[in-house]
Amino acid sequence: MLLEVEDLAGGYGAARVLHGVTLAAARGAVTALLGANGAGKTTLMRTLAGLLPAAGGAIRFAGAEVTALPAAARVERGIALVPEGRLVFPALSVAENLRLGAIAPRARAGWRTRADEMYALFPRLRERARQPAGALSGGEQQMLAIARGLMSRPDLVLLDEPTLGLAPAMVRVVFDTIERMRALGLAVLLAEQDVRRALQAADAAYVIEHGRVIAAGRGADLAADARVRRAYFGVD
Amino acid sequence: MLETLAAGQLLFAALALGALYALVALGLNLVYGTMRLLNVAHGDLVMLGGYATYWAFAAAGIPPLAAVLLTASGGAALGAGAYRGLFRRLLAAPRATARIEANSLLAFFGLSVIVQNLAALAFTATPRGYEYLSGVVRIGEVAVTGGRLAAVALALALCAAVLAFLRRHVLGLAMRALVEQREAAAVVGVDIDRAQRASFVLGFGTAAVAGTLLSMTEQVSPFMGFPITIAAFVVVIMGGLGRIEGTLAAAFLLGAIETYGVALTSPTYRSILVYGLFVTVLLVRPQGLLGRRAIVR
Ligand SMILES: Nc1ncnc2c1ncn2[C@@H]1O[C@H](COP(=O)(O)OP(=O)(O)O)[C@@H](O)[C@H]1O
Ligand SMILES: [Mg+2]
Repeated sequence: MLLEVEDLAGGYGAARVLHGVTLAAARGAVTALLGANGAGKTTLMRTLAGLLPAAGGAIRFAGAEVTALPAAARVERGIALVPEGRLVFPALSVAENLRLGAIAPRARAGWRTRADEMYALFPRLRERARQPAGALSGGEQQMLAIARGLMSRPDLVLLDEPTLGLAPAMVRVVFDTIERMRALGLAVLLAEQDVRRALQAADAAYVIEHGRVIAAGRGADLAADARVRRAYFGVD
Repeated sequence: MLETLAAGQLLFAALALGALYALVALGLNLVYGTMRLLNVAHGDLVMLGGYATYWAFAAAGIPPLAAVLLTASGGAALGAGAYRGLFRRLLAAPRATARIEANSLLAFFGLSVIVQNLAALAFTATPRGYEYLSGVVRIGEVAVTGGRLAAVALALALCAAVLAFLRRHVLGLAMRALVEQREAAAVVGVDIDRAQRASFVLGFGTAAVAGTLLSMTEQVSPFMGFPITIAAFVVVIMGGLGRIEGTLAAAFLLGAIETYGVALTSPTYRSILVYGLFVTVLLVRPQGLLGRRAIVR
């Protein structure tokens, strides 16, 4: 497994949010992270990316322990976070945002070629390359956030609620992109509100509640799981 | 009166003042933007650069144009030292950060007073000046001393270089990212420690160099830094906190307003003009003259 998380604890100072999360994500697979609002998905993503410190447990990536590494060092190892709320650089142009996506040493060579690939993937971004990212629509900003993440040549992409607030057409674009990442052999960890869609797209899934994994399995199996059905589909 | 205003001499004076303000305010704004700390002692670095240049010339015969290298590296080293010794350690502890941010103005103000009075003790309060490139050069109808011309040219060139660095160099881009969105900078993998140190190095270095350039046109004195700090402050507020291009534009605007304002009225009104502008901008456009509120959807 590319990513192995063992008994991970964490949160915001004294406010413990994650109480021992264990999960794994493989190359060329989409792993879905399901859970109600406030379950701890974003906290987990940010702890994996190194933006929040782990209070216990271990994060192993590509066979090496990265639990205590700062965020920049994790990007350098090949972990890219596409954060909830996009977090683009609003006053910088789309092109500069992409350039910054490739600021890790591993990604600096050939960044122009990669930016062109991103423009091919998301033609809207090419049209708006010179505009400030803050002037983009929500959907376009999400494209930019994903493209910026891919600019770092990641092996693992952490996608935190990439379809939140997007129009259906944009949601389709996002899921097409996820499909493409899997085809390219990337590991994708996907936190998603749209449970049906996420389970369709996912090879494996984990259900998180109050900072703990309460169910795990193959996507199709989980869709049939009684607890998941109760919690998300409103059926017994 | 109209002839005076249209004169090239005045235009040159406005440009000269603007270039100096730009150089000082760029550094002040960079350190503010990356650290969210407003260094009220920034103008005193200009004073120290001025004295270093004076003594290098008076005691060792080093010409000011060569002393630029000295003050640049001295200021840069001081910046790196201040970051390493003081700020990095303090900012690593979140609770200390909150404390510093709340008290940073007072702490820097205290530091500024100490530095000024130490300078007065060491160098006496007597203003110091030197004769260097004092021959008059004519450009069209404008007559300036060679020293002044060199100082302005160098200030402009340095501003352009800093701007180019921030726009084109990876480290410059990293610094702008940090100014713009600290969290997002961490997300993309900006080495935050390195970028912060770079902003101190660049900010302190340019301030010290501004001191060298200023000493080529004016006498230096222990308390010369404070009005420069205030002017740089006004520029930063006008241009927008953390905004690079805005800072440059605001510096030349303030240089022009001050030069033409004083020419139209009298030097007594200088402070009223500068502070009046400061208060007006704060009230009318707190996000800066050119700044726009970030649009995040
Ligand atoms: N900055 C913060 N400080 C303190 N608690 C937080 C912070 N952000 C989120 N939390 C808390 O952490 C818990 C998990 O939130 P989050 O990870 O955002 O959940 P999810 O992404 O699954 O909706 C919630 O109870 C939330 O209130
Ligand atoms: Mg969330």
